[in-house]
Amino acid sequence: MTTANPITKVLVANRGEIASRVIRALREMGLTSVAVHHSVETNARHVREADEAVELTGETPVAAHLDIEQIIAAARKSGAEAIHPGYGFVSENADFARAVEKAGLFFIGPAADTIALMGDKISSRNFARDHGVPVAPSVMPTDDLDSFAAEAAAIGFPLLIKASAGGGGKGMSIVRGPDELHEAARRASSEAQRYFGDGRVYAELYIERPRHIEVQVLGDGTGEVIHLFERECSIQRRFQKIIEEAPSSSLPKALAAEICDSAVQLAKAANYRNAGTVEFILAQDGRYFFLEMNTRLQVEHPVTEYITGIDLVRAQIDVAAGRGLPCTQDQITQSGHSIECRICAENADEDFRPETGRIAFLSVPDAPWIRFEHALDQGQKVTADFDPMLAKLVVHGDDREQAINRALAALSELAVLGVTTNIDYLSRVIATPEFRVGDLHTAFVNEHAEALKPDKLDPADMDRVLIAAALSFHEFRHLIFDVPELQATIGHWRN
Amino acid sequence: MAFRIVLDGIEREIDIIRRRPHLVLSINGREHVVQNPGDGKTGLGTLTIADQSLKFAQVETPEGVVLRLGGRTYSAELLAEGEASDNMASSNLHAPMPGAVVAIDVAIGDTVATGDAILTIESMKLQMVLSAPRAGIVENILVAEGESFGKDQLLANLADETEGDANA
Amino acid sequence: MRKIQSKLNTNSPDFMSNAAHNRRLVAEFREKQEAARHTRPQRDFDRLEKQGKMPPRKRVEMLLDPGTPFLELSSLAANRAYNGDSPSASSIVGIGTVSGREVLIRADDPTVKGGAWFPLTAKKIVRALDIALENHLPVIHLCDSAGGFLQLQSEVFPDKFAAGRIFRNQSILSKKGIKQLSIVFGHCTAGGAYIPGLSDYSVIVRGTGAVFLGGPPLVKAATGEEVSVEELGGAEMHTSVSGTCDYPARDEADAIRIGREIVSQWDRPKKWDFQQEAPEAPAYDSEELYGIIPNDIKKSFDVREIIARLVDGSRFHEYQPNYGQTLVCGFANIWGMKVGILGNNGVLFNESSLKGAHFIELCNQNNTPLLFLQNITGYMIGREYERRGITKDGAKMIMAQSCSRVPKFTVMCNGSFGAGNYGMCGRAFDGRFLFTWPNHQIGVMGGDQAANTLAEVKANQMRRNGETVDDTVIQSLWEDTRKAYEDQLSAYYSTSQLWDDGIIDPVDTRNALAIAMSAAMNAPLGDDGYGVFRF
Repeated sequence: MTTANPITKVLVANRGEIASRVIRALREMGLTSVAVHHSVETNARHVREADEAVELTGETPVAAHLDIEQIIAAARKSGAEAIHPGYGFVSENADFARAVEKAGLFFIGPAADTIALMGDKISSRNFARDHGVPVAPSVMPTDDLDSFAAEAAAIGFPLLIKASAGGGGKGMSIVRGPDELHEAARRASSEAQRYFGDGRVYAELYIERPRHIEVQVLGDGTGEVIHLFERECSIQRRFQKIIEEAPSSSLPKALAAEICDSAVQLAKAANYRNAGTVEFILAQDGRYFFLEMNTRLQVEHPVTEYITGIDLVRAQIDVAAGRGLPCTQDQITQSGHSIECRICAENADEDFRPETGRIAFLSVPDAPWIRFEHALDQGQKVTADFDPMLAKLVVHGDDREQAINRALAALSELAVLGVTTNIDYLSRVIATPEFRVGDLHTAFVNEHAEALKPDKLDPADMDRVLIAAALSFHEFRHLIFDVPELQATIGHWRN
Repeated sequence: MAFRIVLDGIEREIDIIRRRPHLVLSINGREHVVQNPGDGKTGLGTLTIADQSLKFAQVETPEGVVLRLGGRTYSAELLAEGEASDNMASSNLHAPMPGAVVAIDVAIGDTVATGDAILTIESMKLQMVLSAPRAGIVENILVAEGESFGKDQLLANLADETEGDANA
Repeated sequence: MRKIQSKLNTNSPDFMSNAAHNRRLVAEFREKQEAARHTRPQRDFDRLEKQGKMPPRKRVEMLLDPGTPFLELSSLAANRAYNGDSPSASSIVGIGTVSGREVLIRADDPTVKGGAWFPLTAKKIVRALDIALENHLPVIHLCDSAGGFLQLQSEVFPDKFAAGRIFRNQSILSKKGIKQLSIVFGHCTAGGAYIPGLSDYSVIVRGTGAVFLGGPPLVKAATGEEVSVEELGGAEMHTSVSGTCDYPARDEADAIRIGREIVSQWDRPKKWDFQQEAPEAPAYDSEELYGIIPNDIKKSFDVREIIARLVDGSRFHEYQPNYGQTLVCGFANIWGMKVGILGNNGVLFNESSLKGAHFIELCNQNNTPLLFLQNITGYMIGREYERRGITKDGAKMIMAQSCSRVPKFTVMCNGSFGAGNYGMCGRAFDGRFLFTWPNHQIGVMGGDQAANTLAEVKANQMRRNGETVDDTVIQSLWEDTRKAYEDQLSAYYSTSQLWDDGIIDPVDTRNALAIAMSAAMNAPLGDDGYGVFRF
């Protein structure tokens, strides 16, 4: 691409590791970056790393990051021509995209209408079905719970009931028989009403032990769409991914190609612009169904970058600037295997309860095949203000086995001390024989809950740990070393 | 003075048996030779216990030590015999200056932690909160709302949580 | 320094018979010590437990740094007094390490008559505080005493070196910047109240600890006021109202933890710069000491054999090896610390006295502490020796020794008779520490000689009174006198009276001396100069 870049300065409307990631890409592209932040994160890493920073005000830090008007005003004020929304916050907000376009700025994302289309479970599902992408048999959303129950029962059981406006597992439940149906629908509806202000629910065929397969696509907005192969994100807790990999662990080539083609088909139909992810649910028998499309950069994008060698953030910016796709489908190859582990401040042994604290010590493993994506600082407070995800540890290997071994080694070396994290838990998941052979499904962590508990240390190991712990206490070291030489040498002696 | 170490909820007694020629520590009576006791500094460290080298990372936090060793994270607490640091504080809440009671924030019999508000008082047009000097049970509140008091007057006192202690 | 070549034959009948004898003596000593330390009526322990108290020795153990030595002093004080009612003189004294600081620990013993002070208790405490003063050792008092033992109050209370001296010493300690911490576990009544009162720091246990000049019964008798122990002098009152004590503690363990933390704030006294090397174990087994010490006080042995089993690497630089050979002098190290040793190898002659005096001066010049190994029957007597000035030569040795500015240590190895005791730094000569072996005897003269003299005097008296004095009478007089005298000669009598800082097992000598010497280095050297030597 040789056309002049209309984008020279980009406001990054996000924080944390993704803001850092985007800022890094901007720097590599020779573009100026503008960070935004709430007053509580004035010294945050993304703020320091950006060329410029604008403070947003808000009652809570999250509110500040969701404040469309302020963000656009910040972009204007700083002279940025474009806004990169990262993921989360305003990244999938059609109103935001529209406001950005209205302000005469480039939105590094799809058209507002695409966001709106894909942002709604029902409309996106209908769109997929209408364009030949398989969708699971389902009942149309309604808040008439009686008719809903009748139609749902007709699909057969088990059924999955979901909030039509929802996400993140809210308002979701599995119904195994007609008796439970009505109550589950009522509960889902009221929960949906409470969380999303929209009580409509819908139901679809529930697939036992499904795998979560998603396809990374990249569209230029003129109908050109390429895919960057699939990712597998079946390891989830509380319906949220914690370990992702690319390619999928055990997908037959033909099936993988079929799924990828379906994704491209959908994105093409939507004239999709930007990087996007089409998510599918894959049944054990090889049937797959459209789940949803995420119209933004995905948390787990690095695994795709690792196997394809394509910088997705850079591609997003180029596409947004009208500079076209980085390559044709034929030019994309995949090599090796990549695994991402989401490092979260949470207690995996206490139902993944979010944890807070202070990062008193951070030690990051270093190797050419490791990417540690984070915006952490030693001494930084981890509060409940933001998402508990602290960082991502991404590794690459020649094959899946090597990637697994490298992930385990890197997790073992990684130290984030001062706040409880899921690092040990992630190691335990990856170390299970089932993970190693790729026997994955989205209820993996529940099914293996017992095996994933920390195993008891044998007494000798325990003693060593206790000694290491004791010797870490200033007070105990004093007791040992603060004794005069003579008395230390004579030792315990009584006359 | 022996110490107890609490690691992820498991409590062990740890004792220093010898310091020369090598440090020997005992955990519940099992002795271990520590050839290299490390430097105790925050961060990455190395120990040698029974000729086995051990790499780990550690930090001391206000709650204790967090340790990462062999791909596992542990939190540990060190307790001296009879340790109960908040008991160094007095059980009595005396008026720091003359004033009046604005509010009573606890009831007799309430269990309070160190720093919990007991009384709000006003003195010289300034309101201030008198908080529990130590953990315990509110035994007496000797003033009423609106009541005035003089400097050093005893306003409230705490009893130990364990029964039959001090004033038995 | 060369290693001493031991000439000991460990297979000889002599060695074996000595060893058997001395092991028996040590076993006897250990038995007495064990009883003094731990044998009490069960009800006394039960009472303590009911009060939530620990036995005093457990308090001491808990206070000490784990894995460090504790040198207990005078464990058998008062063993020949009060019908044995005051084991260890109702008090524990020793030197140990607390929070990395060398300290002197002094604990009341509430398992004996409520920790009441007997006259010898006061003497032991005064001596303990003297040690603290002389060696600049901080003191930790573990207080739990009902006060003076009333039945013997006249001996406890008024004299110069009685209880009052404790408080005088406490004041002087504080003045000299030698810190004191009191941990009040039980009652500190009357004079005892001044122990925490005169301590620089004090901790008091809630519920059991109390400090007052007069307890509730006394208050009631004096003024009619009825008051509870807690109100009168409890932890809460003293730490929040009177300010007599500094820190309240939840229980005894908590008090000890707080005490240890207080000690860890103390500055460390700078030791004087003495010569030190890496320590080395003796080349010979110290257990062989049992075979060297004779089974009969009249038998002689070579003190070099003792030295070889006390000093680093058994290395000894002997001074004037060919002159005045009945006094062995030379340099050695104990646990790395340089020391000048004077050991008796027979009666002191003119030459040995002069050599001793000269060697003492060398050590003073060289800042080397002195160690006296006493096994002495005295200075040589007789016309020739008097004509050669044995008295003035002995006086030179006493003068040099008395005026020494370096610290002195004495071990009573076998016998200490007559003026030899003086020249070799007996109790009266302000040695920093003096230890006694269980076999040791001490007196103006030996048992036989004393019995002869005393029986003769007695017989003459009887004759003057017109009584018939035949051989049987003389024999029984002799035996009675000898028995009574022997009893006073024994190490147990000596240690009971606090003429020493305790009986020690010979194999413990090396460690005991090292701890004592290390403690002594905390204090600066004494004044320079001597008196007039008579030439």
